[in-house]
Amino acid sequence: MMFDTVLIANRGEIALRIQRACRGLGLRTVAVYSEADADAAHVRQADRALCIGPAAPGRSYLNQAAILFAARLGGAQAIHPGYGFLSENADFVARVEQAALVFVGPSAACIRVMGDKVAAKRAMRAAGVPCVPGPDEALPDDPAAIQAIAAEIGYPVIVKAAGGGGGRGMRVVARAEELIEALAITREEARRAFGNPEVYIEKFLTRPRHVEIQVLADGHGTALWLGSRDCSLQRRHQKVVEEAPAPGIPAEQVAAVGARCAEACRQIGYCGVGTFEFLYENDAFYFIEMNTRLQVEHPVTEMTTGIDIVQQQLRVARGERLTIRQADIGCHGHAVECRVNAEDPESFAPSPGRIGEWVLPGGFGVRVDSHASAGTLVTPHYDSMIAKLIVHGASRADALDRMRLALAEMRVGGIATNLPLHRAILDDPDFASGGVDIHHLERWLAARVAA
Amino acid sequence: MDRQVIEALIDVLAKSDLAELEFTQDGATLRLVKRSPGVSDIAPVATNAAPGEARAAVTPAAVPEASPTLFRSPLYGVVHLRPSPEAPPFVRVGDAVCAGQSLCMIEAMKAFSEVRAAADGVVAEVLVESGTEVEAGQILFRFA
Repeated sequence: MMFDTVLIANRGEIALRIQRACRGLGLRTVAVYSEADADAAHVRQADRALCIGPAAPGRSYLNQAAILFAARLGGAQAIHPGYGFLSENADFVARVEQAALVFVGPSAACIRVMGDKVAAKRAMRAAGVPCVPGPDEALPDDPAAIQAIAAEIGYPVIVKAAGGGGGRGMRVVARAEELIEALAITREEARRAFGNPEVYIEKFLTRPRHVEIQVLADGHGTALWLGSRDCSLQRRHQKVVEEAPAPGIPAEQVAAVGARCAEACRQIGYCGVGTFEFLYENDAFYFIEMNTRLQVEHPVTEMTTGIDIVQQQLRVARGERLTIRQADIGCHGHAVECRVNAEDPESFAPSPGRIGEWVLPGGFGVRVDSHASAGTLVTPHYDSMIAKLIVHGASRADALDRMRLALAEMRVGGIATNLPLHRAILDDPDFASGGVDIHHLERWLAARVAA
Repeated sequence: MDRQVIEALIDVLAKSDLAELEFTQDGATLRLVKRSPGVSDIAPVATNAAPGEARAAVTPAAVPEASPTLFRSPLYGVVHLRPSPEAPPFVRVGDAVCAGQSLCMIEAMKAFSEVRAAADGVVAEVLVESGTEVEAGQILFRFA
């Protein structure tokens, strides 16, 4: 269990973030990279660096055999998957375990349960985590029985694929006469996209917020919750701005749902970091899914708790006991993160290319997590995020002011970025007052186009 | 304009100390510009005398106006010549295509853009391999 060398099976800012955490703990790192990432900062700084294939992710960062071989060759006893790529692939985790390596994350069994959204809902209900109204079992075949279930939930309902998640494989149904056809279409899409035709139905919440709880659990029965995040500012199910804590929700209510999340971790034998995602509407939490990995927006929780989440993740993967106690975890001030993407701020067209000017903001309470710099080639092969701009303030208003200044300071040339969009969002009075719902950004964008 | 002629002109420019070369034949104009060292090698830029055919350029600096025979990538990305790995290609050599018909998809940062023909024509040549990286302005197809 006690590894001293970690293979980082990822790229970009998160690879660098993981590398920093490893170095902070005195661990050696093995970087694996595609031909497109040969010049990456974390590759240069790694103790060993191994090229695992061409730029296309399917032939490099998703190539399980190449990554396992690189671990053996590089002397790594553990693999950190980061987020995306293989981070929630239970079959990969099983292969890592079979190779007698440590996967920095939960067991394959835990990932399987949470990857099946119906099984996940069942496990959450068993732990007393509040869920969206609707059954936590596969739907019957009889159309009349299905209609009865939907009628009991009440329209509108949403049809979801058990194998989906992250906004994929869902369909909203407004009326009973549309239900059976919607089910058939979603089943077929789910069969093709996820290899699993199972679907389930839930109440469709019309104006919810996206609020999530960060958890941290060791392999010795200790599970902690580290606070809430609000990630309601989304476009096409992609988070754009995140903050901690979720504004305007009573601390006692967050503590109550946080305690249920920690209990769920203990019940399913969860080890590592994870996130319980909820919809929040009419002052109530409704569980939607669990992400069994480190998340992009983890830094806002680091800023408000003072806990290095990635270092803790590595420690529990080493088999260490958590020394933090729930009573020691506070929520200090407020943190906000803007995802800076290489894309047109109006059309959202991707904008790969070579970065020219690169001026980062700085000063008190400002943090930038990025792998990029002047001269970096942003390739079209991977996602468009080039930096995370994170600020911390004594209050939410203080944090927003600091973010406005930081956004004004930051300049990126050579490619288009969404920095102008972030500046406009920070000037939106609705966002500034806090607690907007998950459709707010798209409504705001539509209104901006119309104006 | 014949591809062999274009290639010959590129060679002429490359071997010379000229920075730019313009060549007009049968109403079509070809302008070749040598970029400063370190940027890239010679970037062929074709322009067309016929007005009103310019496509929306995603990268204005890199994408020239449309040509009746050479079809260029509107953006930097990975080209896909089939809608899915099992499906037949969007177009094959010899196919007659109509304006607006899908020719390929360009993938950039997990987003797929469908690339459509600007005018009617017949596919004479497919100049890229599916799954490869293409620059904005790189020639994808030649139409007869």
